[in-house]
Amino acid sequence: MNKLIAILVSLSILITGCWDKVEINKRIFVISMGIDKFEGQQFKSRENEIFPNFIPDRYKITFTYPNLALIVGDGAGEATHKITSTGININDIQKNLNTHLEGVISFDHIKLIVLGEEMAKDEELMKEVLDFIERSPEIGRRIHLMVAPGEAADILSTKLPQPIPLGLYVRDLMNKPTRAARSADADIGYILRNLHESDAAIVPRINSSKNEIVVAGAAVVKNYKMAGWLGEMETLYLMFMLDKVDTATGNVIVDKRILPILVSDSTTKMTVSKKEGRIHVAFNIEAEGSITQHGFALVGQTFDPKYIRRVEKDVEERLEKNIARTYKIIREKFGADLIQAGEYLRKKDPKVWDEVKDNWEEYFTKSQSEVNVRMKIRRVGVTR
Amino acid sequence: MNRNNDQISSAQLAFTLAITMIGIGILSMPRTLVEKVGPDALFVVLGGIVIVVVLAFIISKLVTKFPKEGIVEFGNTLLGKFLGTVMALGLFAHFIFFTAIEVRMFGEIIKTYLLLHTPLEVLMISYLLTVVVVVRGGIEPFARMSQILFPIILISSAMAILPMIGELDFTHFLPVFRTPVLDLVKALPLMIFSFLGLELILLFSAFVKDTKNIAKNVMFSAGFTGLIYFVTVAVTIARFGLVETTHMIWPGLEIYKTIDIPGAFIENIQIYVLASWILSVLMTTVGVYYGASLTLSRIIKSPEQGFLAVLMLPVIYYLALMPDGLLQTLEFMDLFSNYLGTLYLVLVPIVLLGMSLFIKKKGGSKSE
Repeated sequence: MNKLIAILVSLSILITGCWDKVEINKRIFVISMGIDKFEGQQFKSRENEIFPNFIPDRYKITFTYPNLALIVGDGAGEATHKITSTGININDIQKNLNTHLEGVISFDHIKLIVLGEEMAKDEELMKEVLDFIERSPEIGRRIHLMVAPGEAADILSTKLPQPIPLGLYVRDLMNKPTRAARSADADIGYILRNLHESDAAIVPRINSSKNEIVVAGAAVVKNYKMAGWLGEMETLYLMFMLDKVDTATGNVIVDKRILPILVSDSTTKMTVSKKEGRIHVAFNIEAEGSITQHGFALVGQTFDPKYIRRVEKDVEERLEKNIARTYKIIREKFGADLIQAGEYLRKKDPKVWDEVKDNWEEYFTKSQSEVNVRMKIRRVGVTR
Repeated sequence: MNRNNDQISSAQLAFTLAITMIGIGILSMPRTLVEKVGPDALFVVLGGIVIVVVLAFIISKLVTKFPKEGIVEFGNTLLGKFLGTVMALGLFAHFIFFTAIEVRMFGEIIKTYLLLHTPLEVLMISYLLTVVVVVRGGIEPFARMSQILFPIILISSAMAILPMIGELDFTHFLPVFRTPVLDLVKALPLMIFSFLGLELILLFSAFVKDTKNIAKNVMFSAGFTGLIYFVTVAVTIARFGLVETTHMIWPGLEIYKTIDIPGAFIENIQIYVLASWILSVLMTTVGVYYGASLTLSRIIKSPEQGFLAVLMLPVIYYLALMPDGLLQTLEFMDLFSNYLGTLYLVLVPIVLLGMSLFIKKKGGSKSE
């Protein structure tokens, strides 16, 4: 009898630690979040006059979360819910929303955070948001952070043709094996690390029209705020510099014929050195690829080693020129060390780094680049 | 000692020590190391392993001289009754503080990551009660639990690292050896304190059947624990880089947030790693709690330690609630390891070994 009482008492103590129990259908799993700067009319209430030290709203945040009831089959309405609110910061908005929503907001399964352009250009807000992401025990480091031209809320309003949440759609888009190198390959872990190590990072750009999402191009973040945009091609060539190209397509003109070349594998070796007082960055790129289209009924040409070599040469020249141009834009227009040349020096050549680290931005802006591409065309399809 | 089943093999001793050493330190270790020595963190880990293996050798030499005796008994023999008891009481305090810190840190981490609204007190009380259940069982259940849980914890954490391998960037360890040697040496104690728990040999050796294998197994245990630390530090820094590692409180846990297994049904692997870490820290707490109750029972010459464990619970609970917050807990932890840790992990074993050699010589009786 005593034993039984002991067991019952200990069970009632040991098993009842569940302050945090929330049924899964009472959870609101935020899948995508859009963060915008809020500059609209401040809500004037009687209370703001009573408490004159109130802090004005600065953010407009849009959450989307799946309609769990619909997914399990006993509900109606839209597949994803969307809610927008303004507030002083993300936590404030989260607390505000507790007065609107019956569920508990959880960021455990967030997949996508979109920043509005105006917000990304504001250093203070940007630092707050980045810290929120880094500090949160809920938000993982494989989620995608993106910047939208215009408002992030518009991106979250996109009606996709498939009934899947935007965050999951974007994740699939970014993780597929044939992902185009025109969108920056950077998740939140990569962005945070580069901001810490080099003070500069690229953030993919997300754009939407009525029912379409485009992830291409990139925003340059420097000194914790957005400095400007890189176009799709610039992003592609930057990806070549960063050795992050899986597949890419490009066109070359040989004998006045436009040939599409599929680059299927590319490795880049970057070396940074100091020569005559200037920083010298060299990229040695080895790429492999194939010709995917040639002229009809021109038998034999793609089987001619000399001709293939000419095609390769053209690819090499184009890539070399374009990468060098992109490099020039990055260093002159942005002065942002997106290629982590400073990090390279710190690791591989600490003596030089000690000399230049105090004026690194100046050194980088005046740096020289040298690009060497070695292209190998391995395959030409099934016709000769 | 008085019960028939209070016997373990030296291999079991190795398991209990390894699982006790791996506790809360492993989560913050990459941060504290990088803060001190930057990219040369791994050399400090290696240096720490060498020193600790030597320490393990010294301690095992000491305990093998007194088979079937714990530190309380042979401390009395070597230091005399009064000093021996003072030393034993100090050891008791050491284990009590150690347990309190483990309990508090457990509460803090669970509150941060898992149960955000559950009061800290509830977390700690239910955790302590669970620990006491194991402690009351004595050495044998503890040793067997370690033997079962250690591989589980090890394999689950190692599996979780696998998907990360492709994204590790080992250039973060460059440049090599640019840190002043003095800084490296200064960081060594930090590493040695990650092996706190090793001093439990001083007590547990009394239960070991095959005394002659203690040195071998204990050194292996320390070395293996060191290897686990080495891998953890290497993977964490290679994944996060130097700057970000220093920004996180528990980079050893945060690292599992960077995993995304494509197509897997599990999305947040971190939770599973956290679960296995809970087992590990539970065993650490059990080890040091048991150490405390065992020391006390030996001091007062009580044949049983189970009821002492229950009596100690409110004390530990009170001590665990003393720090104001996470920051102060970390400060207490530093204080604890700097003073009591140095004393009982390094000084006491060396002094006792020296004295035992001295007394043996003086007595002129050459044993073995």
